Amino acid sequence: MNGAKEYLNPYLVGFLLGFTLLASFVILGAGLGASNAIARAAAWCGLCINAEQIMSSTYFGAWGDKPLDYYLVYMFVGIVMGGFLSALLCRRINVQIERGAAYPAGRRLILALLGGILTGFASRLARGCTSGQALTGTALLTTGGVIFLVSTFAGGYLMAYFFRRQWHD
Amino acid sequence: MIETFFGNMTLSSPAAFLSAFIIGTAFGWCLEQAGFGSSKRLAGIFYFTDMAVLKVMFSAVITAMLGLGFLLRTGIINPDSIYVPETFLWAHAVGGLIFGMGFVIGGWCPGTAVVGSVSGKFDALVFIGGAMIGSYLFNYFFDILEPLYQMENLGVSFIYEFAGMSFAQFALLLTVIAVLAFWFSELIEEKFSFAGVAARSNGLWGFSVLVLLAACINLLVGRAPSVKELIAPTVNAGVMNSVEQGLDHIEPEVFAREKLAGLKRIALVDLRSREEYDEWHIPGAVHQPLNSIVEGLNRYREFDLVVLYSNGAVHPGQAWVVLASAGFKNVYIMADGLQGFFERVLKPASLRSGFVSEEDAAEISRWRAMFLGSGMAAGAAEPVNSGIMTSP
Repeated sequence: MNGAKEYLNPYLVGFLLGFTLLASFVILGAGLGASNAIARAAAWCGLCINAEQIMSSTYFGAWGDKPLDYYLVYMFVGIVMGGFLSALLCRRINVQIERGAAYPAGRRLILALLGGILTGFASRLARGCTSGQALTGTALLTTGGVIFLVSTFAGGYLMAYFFRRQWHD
Repeated sequence: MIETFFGNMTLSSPAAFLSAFIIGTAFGWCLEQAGFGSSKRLAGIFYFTDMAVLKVMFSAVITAMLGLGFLLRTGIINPDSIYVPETFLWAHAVGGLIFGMGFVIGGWCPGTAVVGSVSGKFDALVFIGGAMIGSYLFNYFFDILEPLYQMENLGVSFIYEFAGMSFAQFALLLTVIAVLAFWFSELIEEKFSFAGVAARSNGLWGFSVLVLLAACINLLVGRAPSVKELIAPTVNAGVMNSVEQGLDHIEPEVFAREKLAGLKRIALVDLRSREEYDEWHIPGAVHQPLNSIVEGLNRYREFDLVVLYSNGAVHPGQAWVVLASAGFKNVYIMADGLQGFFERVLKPASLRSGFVSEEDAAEISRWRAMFLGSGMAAGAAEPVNSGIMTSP
């Protein structure tokens, strides 16, 4: 990470992120989202493999045969762009498997996969993830958003102890 | 007044897609600048080593909340123009719990994993692959999960309502909590050394004062709805009535006949408020607020008929347009709404003006038996009164 710039002040980033969310409310009339596009990508892959099965399923089927024609998918592409440009300009692109110094890479990848499966599943159940529920919902002061935020931290702290080793240096 | 893509029902237009892309770019940039392209930094919140997640998320929430509160209270933006996610108590609680576990196990959440991936973190890419599998599993087991997914639907529900507060009052409360949490986070990071916190020059003093001030100002600005807001619904109604001419309708008699024949799969959808629905609805009707209508009615996509009703024509008209643009091809509006249904289906033959043939009378009593139960069938002469009818 030679020459990588320091991260921005968290309060300043928070303010800018809040402003982005506000712009999303004012322009789109809806908040931010990330997990929806991932689910739609899964539905799209499913359509390529077995279109009939996906189209007859209740949840993915409702998205029709063109699940990627959705504003949150375009937002997702934006996140890819914005994140890449920012990492590039601040010289923070570094191919690696991020983990504690002594932790085996394979184990870390298994945990990443397992965590991904759980969050992917949970974000469909909760109708959103950290972006769509915790950020957007809480900013709107919806009951569901606040409940999601609180139980996310509860779930995180509940499991934190058992998975601490992957970060130990 | 600003009109949003959601308010114009054009969230699926190229212009909206382009806007979403630009907003997404800003979002991704913010996440990366915050350092959320690193799972170590993200996980720090769960081990009290790095509180950046709390600081960034909480500042973002209060910034957007106060900004939105201001725009709503000054009437610059109409509340109807913003999509507010509904609350499903159990889905949000259980979903949140599993989500938090996945977050700490995987080290990422969906948005940050995207930023991590483009920063070269291979584990983030694997995490996204996992999230796709998780989404697929949710779809696969949806029929089993649906009761949990739909349980305890509070509709559009705001947390401040439970506290008996207004948006702005609760926003001030949350801002105070956030500022306390910011200072507490700094203390945690400095291992509770007050001198250490004081030595940090991160602008937290200024930021604290700024947000508290904004929260107080928010409480004081424009309480009464603006004139524009008061006029808007009627203008909208006029537009909708003209749009409405082009929409598909179903006469209440035809609906009743189809329902009685029982050959078609028919979904009946009540678009009125939850209170009105709870007071009385046509037996068999499901309640569905407008803001989540596509998701809520997804399971009826393959039905032969989806029949919408409300008191007037405005709500079904909007709902019809939304559903049609989401690809539904089976949606009909009940002509004359609930009133028409009372007059033309439920009203006993004996109370109807004009000549009613014996065949028609027999059909009417069959409809009444179907919708009201046998106890109130054929001979019952009581006028239709919402007070005495309860849904089975």
